Amino acid sequence: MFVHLRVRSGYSFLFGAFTLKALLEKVKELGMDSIALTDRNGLYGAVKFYQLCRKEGIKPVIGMEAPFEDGSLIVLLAKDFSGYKNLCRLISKVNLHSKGTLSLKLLHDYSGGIYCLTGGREGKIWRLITLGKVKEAEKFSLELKSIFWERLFIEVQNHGLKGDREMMEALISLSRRLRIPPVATNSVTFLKKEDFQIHRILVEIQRVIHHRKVYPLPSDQFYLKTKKEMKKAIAFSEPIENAAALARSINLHLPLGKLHPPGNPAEEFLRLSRLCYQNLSRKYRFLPAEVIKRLDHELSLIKERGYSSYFLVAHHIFEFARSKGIRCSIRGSAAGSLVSYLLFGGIDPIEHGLLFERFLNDGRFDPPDIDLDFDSERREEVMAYTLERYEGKAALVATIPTFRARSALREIGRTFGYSYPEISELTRFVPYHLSPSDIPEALRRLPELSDSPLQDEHKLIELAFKLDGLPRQLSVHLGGVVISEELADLVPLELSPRGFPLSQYDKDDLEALGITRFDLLGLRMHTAISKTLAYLQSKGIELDLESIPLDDCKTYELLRSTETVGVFQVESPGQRQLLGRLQPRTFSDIVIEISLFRPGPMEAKMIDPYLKRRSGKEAISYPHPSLKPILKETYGVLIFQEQVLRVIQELTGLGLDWADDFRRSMKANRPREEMEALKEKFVSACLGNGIDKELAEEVWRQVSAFASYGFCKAHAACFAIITYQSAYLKANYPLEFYLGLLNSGPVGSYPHRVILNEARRRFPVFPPHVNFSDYGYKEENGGIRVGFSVIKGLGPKMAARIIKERNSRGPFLSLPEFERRTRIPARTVEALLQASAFEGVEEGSLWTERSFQLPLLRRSIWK
Amino acid sequence: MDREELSVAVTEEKYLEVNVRSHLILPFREDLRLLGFITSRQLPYRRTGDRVWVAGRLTLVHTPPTKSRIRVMFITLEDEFGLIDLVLLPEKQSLYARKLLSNLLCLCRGKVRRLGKGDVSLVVEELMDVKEFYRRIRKSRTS
Repeated sequence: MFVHLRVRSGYSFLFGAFTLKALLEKVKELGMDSIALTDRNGLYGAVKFYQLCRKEGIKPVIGMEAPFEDGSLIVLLAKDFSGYKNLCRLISKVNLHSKGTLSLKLLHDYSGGIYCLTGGREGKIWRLITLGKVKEAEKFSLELKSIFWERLFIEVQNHGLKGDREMMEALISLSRRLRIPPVATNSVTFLKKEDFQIHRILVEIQRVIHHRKVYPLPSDQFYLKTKKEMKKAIAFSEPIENAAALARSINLHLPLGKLHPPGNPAEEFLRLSRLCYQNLSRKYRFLPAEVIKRLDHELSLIKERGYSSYFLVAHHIFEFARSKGIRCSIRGSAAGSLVSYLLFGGIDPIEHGLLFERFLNDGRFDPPDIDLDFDSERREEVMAYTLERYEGKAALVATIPTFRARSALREIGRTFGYSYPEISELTRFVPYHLSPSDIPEALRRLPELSDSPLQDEHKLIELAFKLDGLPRQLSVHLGGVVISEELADLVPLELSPRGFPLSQYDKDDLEALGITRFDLLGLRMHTAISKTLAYLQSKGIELDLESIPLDDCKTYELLRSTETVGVFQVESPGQRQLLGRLQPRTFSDIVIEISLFRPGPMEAKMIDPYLKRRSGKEAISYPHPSLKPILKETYGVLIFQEQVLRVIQELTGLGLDWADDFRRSMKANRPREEMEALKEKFVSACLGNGIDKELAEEVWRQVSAFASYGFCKAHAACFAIITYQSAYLKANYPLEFYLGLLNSGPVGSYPHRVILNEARRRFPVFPPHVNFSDYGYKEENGGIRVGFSVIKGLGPKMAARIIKERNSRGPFLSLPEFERRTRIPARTVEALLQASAFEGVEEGSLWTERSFQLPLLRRSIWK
Repeated sequence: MDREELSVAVTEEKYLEVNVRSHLILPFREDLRLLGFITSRQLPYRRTGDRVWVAGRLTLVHTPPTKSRIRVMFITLEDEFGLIDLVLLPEKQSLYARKLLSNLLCLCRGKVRRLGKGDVSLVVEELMDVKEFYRRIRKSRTS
């Protein structure tokens, strides 16, 4: 048996030409029982590879290709879990502290449990022998031997290129002289010979688009060869046998599924309890027994699961943001927990009927998930603080995007030498969400593509198709941060473009490893609200949005009018239309609106029955009178997942834990037999609770249809608060709200143009002006003065130069004076002129602010 | 066509990210009015089933995925008074999808659909760009 110990997958970004799934299919097809994954510079695909191998009954060998400063490589393979830990530590050390290059010193420090292969034709030994420096090759080999001892192997390869056979003999001879065993590898980079062209295209993308000095492999022989082909290529039996023996000696088990929370949960439970009870007295003036009982229940489950530290870390981050005046809120099912309410505020779960069991229960073993939203513009402060506070235990979460249709077409198009306009024309109308393999069908189905020039680009489409599923690069996840005591041992790290430690694994891999993740997300609406409140404060209006009444008439009038551009979550065309039909009058209506406008409820056609019953056009009915208290809020229509849980609990008499477990098992695409088994389980539980069979079956029909579609009420309620707050600001302080929106970057569905046009129908809008504008929008004489930011080609630096000059030496009196004082390029001056930013200045006449504004105020068309 | 207004609108389009003094539809408004086009402000007062002509700047196109794989295009236009929501059903997409996606300004005839108070949209029956609009005007004048 032969085992490939040198395999570069798509996780060797823009180099390896196959996915892990395709690799394992091929390995099985070739009848191999073990395979390695040794991607360049890291372990990016290791966890997925490990999981897939376990599933397919293949023995995984995990390793990497590590580069020295001179560009030569060695291959490191984890012999066991200690080796895996050392690999992680070594990668992190190299990336975070050694500018990405390996040294013998570092190898020495982290060599335990690691096999080392000398790197084949990309290794230093091969290079030295090629240059005739055999002595130096021997010296380097001995240096490696002094680090790895019996775990060092000289890599022997033959790709049928000139000199390969001689080199093979030289390496075997070196191995015998130095008593270092040889091992055969093939540097597998593609699965089949014909896939060489994919590899070449990927390398070309690196060269043309990323301007990297890389070269494609010299032949099509770097594919996953059979044992027979390897034996034919390597004329010696020992290296072939050594490859299999080495793989056999590997005993690596990754501890998947075990939770590694931050801190020491046992010690921190007391702190968490104390904090909750302290806040309890602040939140509740009168303490009903129900609240104490619920808190006790939640805390005991949190203690049992060892999640105390998780809550405390999230609270610590939240408190930091609050202390710095950074707007933040909680989202997701966590809002259903009383502990979360006491720690993070938001919606009172008891008052709004939110369930802790939807977030955490006896039957759920996945790590808890507390998502926090922060003011987008200041989220990085929170990130930086978190990473610094938990240094060595915290990192950003990675995301590894794969090629999409447009990116594949654009990038391959560039390597074909097409110009940018040509590429734009080719990819015009190609939808953004499409995968490369969907392109042929889209060309057939989408009418806007019927006479696209892409129809004739057969080669381009064929190559794009082959890039389907291939990872493109390591990117930073939108808001994920992992914190764990075991981080250094379990997760390899590198530096993010902004200099923060970044995990080489994505969120799924980290979850599999049991590393707790915190989603610290940026929410532009928080930015817009913060800015609105700041404008109000500057006018002496102190508004505490957290304590505004939830029954403001003007707010509901605004929502009912559907004039909701800029209002969080309810501004898209579909949501505006639903608002018009629903005519919200209470906070609960907003929660329902947000829950109904989701793919699940829309697909399950929940909207019409709900609206008909609400408007009295359809009779309200309940499957059983006992369900009325649960379904009354939604007129008997199941909308929330929390309702599904309570219906199941009511009818079966079993706990909410069981109900949530049951709800999660009712997935939409579950096979028929499994659904039948679930039905039987449900009906028999109902029968046991004294419910008759007919009713149980009828409720089953409804619950099974809606369970996987219903929306989490806790999540909707978190959003509804922000919807209400933004609608409140728009209804009561529209000018400040428009300014807040316009100065917060892209917020929501509409471009600034639409928001400004709407603002102009209510307030005067003044064009950018060299003597009055700031970079952003600002209030001026009861209207909005447009800032320099809207002028194409005028960036913040140039704007700052204009403003600084104006502030220090007074307003600009003429165009030549402006040019002399600011030294702004002529092209930008032209843009300013065209934007009327010099109105009144050119003549050098005595102007006043008012003289610019009057003509605009007279433009009645905007009123 | 108001040439002065058109010059302001084109200049803003070229140099600014927003409309400060004009809206792209304004230069054509008088011609549109004469030919019976209504504005977003007038649309809510039309009855269900009425057939009307509207014009606006293309602002949003949304094609949500559906299980049935039937593609409905939800489109939002903006004129100088506000937003106009359109629905382009699959049977009309082969005729108009490309035209819709290729032009900044869109002129369309549609049937008013009203599902509730404040919920007015148009189901597109015919769609054209500005060039076609003026071609039609010229043609009708010569005939």
